[in-house]
Amino acid sequence: MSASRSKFALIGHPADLPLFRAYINYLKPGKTFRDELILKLFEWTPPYKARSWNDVSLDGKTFGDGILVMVPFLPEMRDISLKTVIGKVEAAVAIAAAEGCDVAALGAFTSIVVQGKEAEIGRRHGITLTSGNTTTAALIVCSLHNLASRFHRPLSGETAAVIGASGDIGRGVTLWLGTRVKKLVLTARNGAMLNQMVTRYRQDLSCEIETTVDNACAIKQAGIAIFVTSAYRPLFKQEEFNPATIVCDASAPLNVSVSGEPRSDLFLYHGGIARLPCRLDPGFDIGLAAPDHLYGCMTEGMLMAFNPQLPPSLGRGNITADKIQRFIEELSRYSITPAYSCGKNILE
Amino acid sequence: MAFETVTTEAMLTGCVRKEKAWDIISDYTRYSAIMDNVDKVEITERSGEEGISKWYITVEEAPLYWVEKDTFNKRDYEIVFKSIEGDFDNINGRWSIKDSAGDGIAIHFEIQYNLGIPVIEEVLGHILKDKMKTNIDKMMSAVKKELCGTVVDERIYPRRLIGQPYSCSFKGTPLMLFVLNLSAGGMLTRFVPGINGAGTLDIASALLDVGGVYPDETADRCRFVFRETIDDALLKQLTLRLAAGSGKLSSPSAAEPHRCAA
Repeated sequence: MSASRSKFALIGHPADLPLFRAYINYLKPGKTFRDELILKLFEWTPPYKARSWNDVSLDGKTFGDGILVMVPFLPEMRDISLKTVIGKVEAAVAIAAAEGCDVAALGAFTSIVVQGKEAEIGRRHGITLTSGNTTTAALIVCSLHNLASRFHRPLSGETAAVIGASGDIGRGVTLWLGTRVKKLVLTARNGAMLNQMVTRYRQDLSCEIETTVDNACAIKQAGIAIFVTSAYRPLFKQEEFNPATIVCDASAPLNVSVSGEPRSDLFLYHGGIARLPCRLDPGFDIGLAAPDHLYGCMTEGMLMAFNPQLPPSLGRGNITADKIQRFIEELSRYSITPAYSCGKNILE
Repeated sequence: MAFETVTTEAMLTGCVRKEKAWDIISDYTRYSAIMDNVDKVEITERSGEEGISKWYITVEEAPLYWVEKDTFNKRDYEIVFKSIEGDFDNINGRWSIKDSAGDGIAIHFEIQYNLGIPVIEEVLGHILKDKMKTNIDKMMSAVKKELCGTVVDERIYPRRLIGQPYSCSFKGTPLMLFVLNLSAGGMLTRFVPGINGAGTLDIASALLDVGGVYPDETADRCRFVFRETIDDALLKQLTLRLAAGSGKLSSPSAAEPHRCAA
C-alpha cells in the first residue's frame, strides 16, 4: 500500500429514533428493546469504529480507505449534557486520527456541537475536520437547479423559502439562491439574528427578500421550500404544502413527515444527499435510499481526502457562493450528482 | 459474547445471625421498599424452594426488566436465580450467606449477565460492568442497612453474662451453662456441653427444640441453634429468668439488644 494513500473518516450518529431502532435491530435481529433502556445504554457507550471500507475510489484511478465512526448520540437524548456530547465527538475524532485518517467529516449534530472549534480539535489530534456543510449546500442548490430545468420552472420566476436560513447551510443556500430566484422568504428561530444576516449580505442578494419567524407563512407563498434546520422533530406534514411545491428536506432528522404514500402533486425529497459513482454501504440503514447514496457532509470528507487542496467547512457563516461553486465543480469532476429520494429513488 | 460477572460481599462482624440475613434476602417482596434501585418485584410463582419472579430495576437511569427462576436453599443459605426472559440475554446470579471469622457472617452476591447486543456490549463492556457493580453494591448496602439498622434481640459483644450458672439438660444429660446471650433463633453459652446434634434443651423451665449444637472448645463456647424461632413472649420470659439474680443485670433490657457491625 502506498504511504500517501488517503484515508477518511465519516463521523456520525443515528439521525432519529426509527433509524436507531433499525441499527439496534441490525446488531441484534429479532429482539425489540424498550427505547428508555436502549437509549440509555447507547448514551453510556463511547464512540467506536462501526465500519471500514478499503479501496474506495471516486474515479476508478485513485484509491483510498475509509472508516465510519459512530458517535452514540441521538437528538432524543434530552438529559445528555452538551459537554458529554462534545466529549464523544472529540473521542470519535481521536479514533479517526488513531486510524490514520487524513480528514474526518462531522455528520449531523456532531458538527453542530463543535461548531467553531473544529480547527482547534483537528489540530489537537493532527487531522483535518470538516462539517461538510459546503458540499451539503452545493448538493441542495444543484438539485434545485436540476429540478427547475426538469420541471421547466426557471428559478428566476420562483419564490423559495429557506427554513433555518441563519444556520451555516441555510446561509450558504441563501447566498447562492439570492442571485437566482425571484424572491426569498427566509425563516429562523431568532428573527433578530436573521435580519442581521440579511443586512450583512444584502448587497450580494439581488432578489426580493422577506424574513419571518413564521415557517407556515413562508411555505404558503413558496414554490420551493428548503429545510435546513437543526430541529429534532418534524415541523410539517406533507399535506401542509401547496400543490406543485418542490420541497427539499435537508435536515437531519427530517423536518417533513410523510405518513402513507408521498403526495403525487408534490416533489418532496431528502436533500443534500449525493449519488456516488461507487457504493459506500455501512451495512445498516442510515436513512438513505440506496447504497450509492451518501450524506453531503460525508461526501465532503471523501472529496477532501482525494483532494487535500479543498478547503474544509469550518465554523458558521463561512460558506460563500464561490466556495459552493468550487464544490459543485468538484462534485461534477467525479460525476457525483444529487440524489432524489423520499424513502425510494423517486426519479430513478 | 462471554458473560460478565460482578460480585459484592458484606462481612458483618458482631453477632448478626444468618437466619436474620436470610429473612431479608429471601423476602423479595420487601426489596423495593428497602432498595432504591429496585422498582418492583412480582412473585408470580412460589412453591417450596422454587419460584419465579419478575424484576423491574433501574441501573443508573436505565430501566431493566427480566423474569427469573429462583431456587431458595435455606439449608445452605443460598438463593440461585436464572433469567428466563428480559432485556438482557441473561441475568443469572446467586446470594449466599456463610459464617465468617469470629461470630460474624459473610453475605455474597454475584450476578452474571450478558447484554447480548453485539458491538455495543463490547464497546460498553467495562462501563456497563461498573454500573452493574454499583447496582449490586447498592442492593448489598440496603441489606446491610436493614440488618444493622434493625434492633434485634440477639447477642452483644463484648459478651456479658446474663445469668449465673444454670442447670439444664440436653438429651437427658445434665448440663451446667452460663448463658452468654439468648435470641429468638438460639443462644450462646459458656461451658461446652460435649454433646452434638439435635435434641431438646430444658432450660429455665422451658423446653426448646435444638436444631444443632456447635461447640467451640478452643473458645470455651457453644452455640445452640433452635429448630424453630421462639416467640417474643417466651424469649422475654427466658431472659427475665436468666437475668434474675445475676447481680449484674437488673432488668431484661439491660441485656442490651444487639446491633451488628458491618
